Amino acid sequence: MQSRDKKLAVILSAATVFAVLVSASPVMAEEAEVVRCFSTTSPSPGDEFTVTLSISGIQIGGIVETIPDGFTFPEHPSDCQYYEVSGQRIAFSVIEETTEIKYKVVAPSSDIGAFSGFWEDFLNKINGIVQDADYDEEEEEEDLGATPTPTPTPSSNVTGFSIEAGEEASLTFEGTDLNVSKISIKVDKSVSGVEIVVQENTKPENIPDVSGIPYNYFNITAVNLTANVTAKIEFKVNKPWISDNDINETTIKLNRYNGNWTVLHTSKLSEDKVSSYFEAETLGFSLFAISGEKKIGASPTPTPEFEETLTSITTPKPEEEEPASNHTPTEQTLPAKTSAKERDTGLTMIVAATTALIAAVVIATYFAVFRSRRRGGEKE
Amino acid sequence: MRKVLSCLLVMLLFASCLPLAVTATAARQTGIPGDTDEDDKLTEVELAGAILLFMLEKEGRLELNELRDAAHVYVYWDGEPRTIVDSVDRTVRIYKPIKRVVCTFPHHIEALRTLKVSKDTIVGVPSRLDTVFFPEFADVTCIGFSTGPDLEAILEIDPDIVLLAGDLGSSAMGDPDEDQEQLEAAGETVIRFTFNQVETIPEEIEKLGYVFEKEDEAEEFIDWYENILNSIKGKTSEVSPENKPTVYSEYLPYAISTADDEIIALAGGKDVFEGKNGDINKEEVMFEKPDIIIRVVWGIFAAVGGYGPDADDTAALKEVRDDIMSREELQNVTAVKNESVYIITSHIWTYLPYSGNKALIGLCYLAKWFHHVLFPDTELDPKAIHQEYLTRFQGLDIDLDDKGVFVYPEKKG
Repeated sequence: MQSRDKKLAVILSAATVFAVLVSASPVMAEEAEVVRCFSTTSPSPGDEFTVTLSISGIQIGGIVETIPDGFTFPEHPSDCQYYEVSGQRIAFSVIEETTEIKYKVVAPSSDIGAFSGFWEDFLNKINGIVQDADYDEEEEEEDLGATPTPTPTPSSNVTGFSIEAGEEASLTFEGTDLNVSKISIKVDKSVSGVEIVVQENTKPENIPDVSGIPYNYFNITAVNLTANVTAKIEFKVNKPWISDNDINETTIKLNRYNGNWTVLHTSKLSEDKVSSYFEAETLGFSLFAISGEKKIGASPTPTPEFEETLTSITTPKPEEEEPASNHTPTEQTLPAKTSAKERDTGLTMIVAATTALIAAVVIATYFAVFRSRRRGGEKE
Repeated sequence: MRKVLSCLLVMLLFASCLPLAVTATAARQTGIPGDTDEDDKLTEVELAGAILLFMLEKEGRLELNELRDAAHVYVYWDGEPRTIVDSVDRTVRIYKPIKRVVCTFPHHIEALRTLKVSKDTIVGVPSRLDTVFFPEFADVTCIGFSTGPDLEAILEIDPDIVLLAGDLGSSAMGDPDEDQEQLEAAGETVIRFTFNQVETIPEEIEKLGYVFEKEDEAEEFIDWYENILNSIKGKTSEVSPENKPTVYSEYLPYAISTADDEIIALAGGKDVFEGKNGDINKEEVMFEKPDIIIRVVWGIFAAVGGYGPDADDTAALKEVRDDIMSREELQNVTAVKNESVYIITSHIWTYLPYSGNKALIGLCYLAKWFHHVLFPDTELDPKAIHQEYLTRFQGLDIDLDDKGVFVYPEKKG
């Protein structure tokens, strides 16, 4: 039996339709663009292949590419003059007239994964994500031979936007196959270069089932969202599913997996002939599931207590911290940044307070000694 | 023991002041962002290194706005700071694009408006701004009066630069030397311009335009300004001394200033008290018998005339003129006998703090009063020039046919 070559299918980020309406997104220059293409989309295990980034409209900028887990960089991954590797990331400086950057990657023995990247244009003050070049699907199938190409699951992403502290960014996923139609995000500190990816998928095997009857599982991934978040997710549920499964509509909830399943505060917004529309509140992004309960006689299902509720954006509750296993390399939480001026101002205040305290102690000691000696003199 | 403790106390109190002074200085940043060797040259290697640090979110990285400034300096400034010499001969280096400026005199605001600098860039303004001439700055932080700005308030604003007045001589218009010293000790970048002298305004505008990267706007204004100035100078410079009218100029009864000398000379007049300051005796004026009397109406706390009154509301200025014309001691003076007594407001003069950058318009009026034959209305129209300045360079919707009183009488009597 001929062993079948284990061919790797590199799932490219399936970005199809981008969010149109973003309330706080920066204006992206039409000309600025970074496009990624691969020398092969199905390298053999251990093979080295080349990723080419085509750059247009960026005069002074930076690019960071993140390769999937299992993929590695060779010892000298690029001939680009200015690059640096950090874990699964490789960063490039784009300095005038750089129109193409190539880097090499070594394919793992198995695994599939998605390449992702974002760029900054420092001169025009805009940013965005690295786009994938269009590829020929027929050619892709031929390369795989008998191995079918995994059907891309519905997904969509919104790229390279900024959110100012206290303001709300609304991301609309219109024209996609997603059940999520809108995400509204508020942050407690300004962030930029944010990417939100929504991808529907089957429940991972190691994750327990959500309670009730699941309608849909989907993942929301946030890149560069280094702030405390309060968000609202609008989603729809098709009416045929509700009726086919005899679902009590009031029990339809959005659940979030954060080590365990948590029911989110969900409310119905509207309905039409095709779907019912809901909105849920969350304090973070991870794996979600839409579920409902069957009708039980005439009595509605009691609403469970919500473990996750929206509060004002202050310090996060301990239960909101994601377990380490859910962190991806691109979601590292950064320490609070302070500018040099803020640091120096803080230092100034500390030094001033310390010296004032020392002076006060000395003065008090002086007068205490002076007084005691004076009383001693008077007594004498 | 008491003495020892006293000495120790004094030493400790003194030592406690030193960190405050040092950290106050160290709190400000200088140099081009990303210029790691601090040689005032941002190289490609330095910029690329700063970009990599930022993109990988590494320790010591620049902030996003700093990196954007670095990119701007690298591309548009050839990686070097912009250097100017201000009006008190100080060499000032600008290390990044200016986004926040504090103005201590209205003249600075007016100059920035001439250069079409965004209003959002101006983050501190002096108090008592003329709200008709500067209608858009009511919501900008006030840093106190021009002659004594609140330096703490300026530091709190944390601007990129502070504009102070140039050399004010012995005038009572504050102490910009002292202000400059204190601001620089706190790490602020100070540039000193005054914008009130006819002949130096073009150079100051050019330099300020360079600092704010508004060279085209500066050039447009300077071309317009020098065209007018040179047309006047070209004619008045050829007037023979005997044909120059003698001029007595006061800002209060029998109070004179050398600040009037230059503008009178440019207009082709001869200041009978040129080079003199202060109070004079009325007998001296009687003796000189000037051909023309100019009275500058000026008030440090309340300007007379200006953009507020209706254009035909010249009563206040007329009253001042009538007072001069009725002075018994001046009845035999040529200017009074010929009714060549003119009132001009400080808005179009060189005085501080209300004159602004419009002394050229005052010069136009003087030229016509001194030499109405050389400057007929068809060749020199001060009101039209003033209107163009307001509309084209200040962006103001003021119609001088309806509003504004600056001279009386407008034409030679």
